[in-house]
Amino acid sequence: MKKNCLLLILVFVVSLAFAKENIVFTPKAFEADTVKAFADDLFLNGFLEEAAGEYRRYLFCSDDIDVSAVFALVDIYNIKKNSEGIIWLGENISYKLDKKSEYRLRLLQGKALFKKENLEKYKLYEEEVKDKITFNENVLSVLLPVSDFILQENIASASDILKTNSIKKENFTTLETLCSGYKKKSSVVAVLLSAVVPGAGRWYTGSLWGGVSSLFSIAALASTSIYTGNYYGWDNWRPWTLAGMAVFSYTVELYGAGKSATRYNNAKYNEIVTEVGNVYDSLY
Amino acid sequence: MIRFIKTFIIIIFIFTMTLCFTETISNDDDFYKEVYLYAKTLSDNNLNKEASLEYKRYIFLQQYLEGTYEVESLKWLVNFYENEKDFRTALDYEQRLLKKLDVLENEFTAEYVYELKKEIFIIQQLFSDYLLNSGFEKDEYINMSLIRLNTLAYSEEMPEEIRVQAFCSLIIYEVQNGDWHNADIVLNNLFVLFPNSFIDEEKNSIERIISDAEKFTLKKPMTAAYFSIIPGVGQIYATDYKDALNAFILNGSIFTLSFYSLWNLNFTDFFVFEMNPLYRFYRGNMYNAQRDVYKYNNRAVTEYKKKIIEIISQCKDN
Repeated sequence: MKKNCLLLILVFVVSLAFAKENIVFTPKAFEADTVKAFADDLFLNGFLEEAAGEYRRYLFCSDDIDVSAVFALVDIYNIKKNSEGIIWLGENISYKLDKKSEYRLRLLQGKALFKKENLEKYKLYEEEVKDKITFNENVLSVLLPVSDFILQENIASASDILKTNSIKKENFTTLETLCSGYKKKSSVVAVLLSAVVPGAGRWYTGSLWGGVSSLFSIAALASTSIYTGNYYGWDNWRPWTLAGMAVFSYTVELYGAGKSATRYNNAKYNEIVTEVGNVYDSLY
Repeated sequence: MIRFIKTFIIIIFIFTMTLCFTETISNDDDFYKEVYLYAKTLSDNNLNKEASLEYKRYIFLQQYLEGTYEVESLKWLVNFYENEKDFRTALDYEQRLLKKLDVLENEFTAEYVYELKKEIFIIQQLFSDYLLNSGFEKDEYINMSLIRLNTLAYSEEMPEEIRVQAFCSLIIYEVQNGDWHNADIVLNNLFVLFPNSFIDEEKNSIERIISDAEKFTLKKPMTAAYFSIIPGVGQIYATDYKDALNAFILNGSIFTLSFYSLWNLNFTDFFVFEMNPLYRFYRGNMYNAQRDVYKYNNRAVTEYKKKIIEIISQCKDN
């Protein structure tokens, strides 16, 4: 009996081995690895939106994640300029990754949140990162509060932090220069200056040639108005038409000076924001 | 002895069952049929975008185990991308489909010939779309498609109808590209290789139009600008009489007004109110004359192109 049983088992194993050659490995259509392979195929063939959907499906259904899928998805989001997608990845997937990949993904999430200028969400992110991430080399511990202050448009505090920190200065050199040189121009001062001397407000906000051009055009219109008034008499239509044009130009100049100050401030602020983005990139 | 026979029968039974079991796994009807059916259901319900993804999934899964619906899936994707005006992707899938059909049957079946015609049609649409949207700089994709058309046209193995159609598409491409000389060469090759592809009357009219187009000299924009020293004459040169009248009246009135001010030594009016509009309108008049010449040239060349494409397309359809 024992002999027979052994023989049966032996036959079973031999037949299985024989049959092995005929078995074709057929993965199921929605198995995690198949989905990932399909997503890779779509990505390589340029179907980015569809590939993103498949990568998301893979990341959602698999616990043992292949990091390449995450960063392929990051690439797609970067190409499509979809910062919401990167924030979603940081919030929902980073905990599934190894420390190094988590760090990279968190940096991208931070950059995306910062660029969206969403202070509330950025604060939540800051808390989360501070609690969870112990792998930062103190660079992040400087970058997070600096970003926070910059989002609050409190550039002076950001500049103080940058000046006092002694960590990896090379990452922050340009940012420090921009922050320490940042000085807001007042719209009221610009308008008042332009009211006294047309064009002076624009000169104050850094647009010298704009100011000169305004000064000359208003002066030319005003002087032509006076000249025609004296030449044709003040009851003629010409001096009043020209005077009207001069007044109109003067009003536009006042409005333009105020706008010019806002534009100047925004440009300087955007320079700082761009540089913070560059710091995130240099750490990534 | 009986016991031995019993054991032997059991062994054979187990061996056969094991083999049957493994065969069932490998040679199923279509392991991924469900994916195809789902894609089909989506497309039947006009959820085409979703369906395209599922068809692609089905095609992708064929690398694991070949099924029976790959050709249908590829055909659907070709039609889908053609309707979406994404001719590059449509062409990719069409070429994959042709490879698949080629593997299945090594002869020119009606289906294979139909798909070849469709490939040529898609290439032609790709060219038109490209010339319309991206100017005349060829990229690698266009070059590869041109090579493919030439291969189809000059390959002796291809059926005559496919070769003639490929030649026609090449001629249309050269005509759309404005390369009349090349169009003439391809046309002559077509007439030599397939003398019966067009009737004599059509041949003569195509040749005449191409020769006219080659002889046609474009009007020069700079000449129009010089003529425009007298406002409107440049526009007359460009045969845009409405614009000529407009330029003449507008510039003429401002010119008269300025002349009147200067004649009366009224320099203030001239410098403050009239000089600037006079300068701007006069410059605009010269610019418009040049633009009208470009328009005229474009219209004339398009007319030649349209005539040839009309004749060739009619013959191709027949």
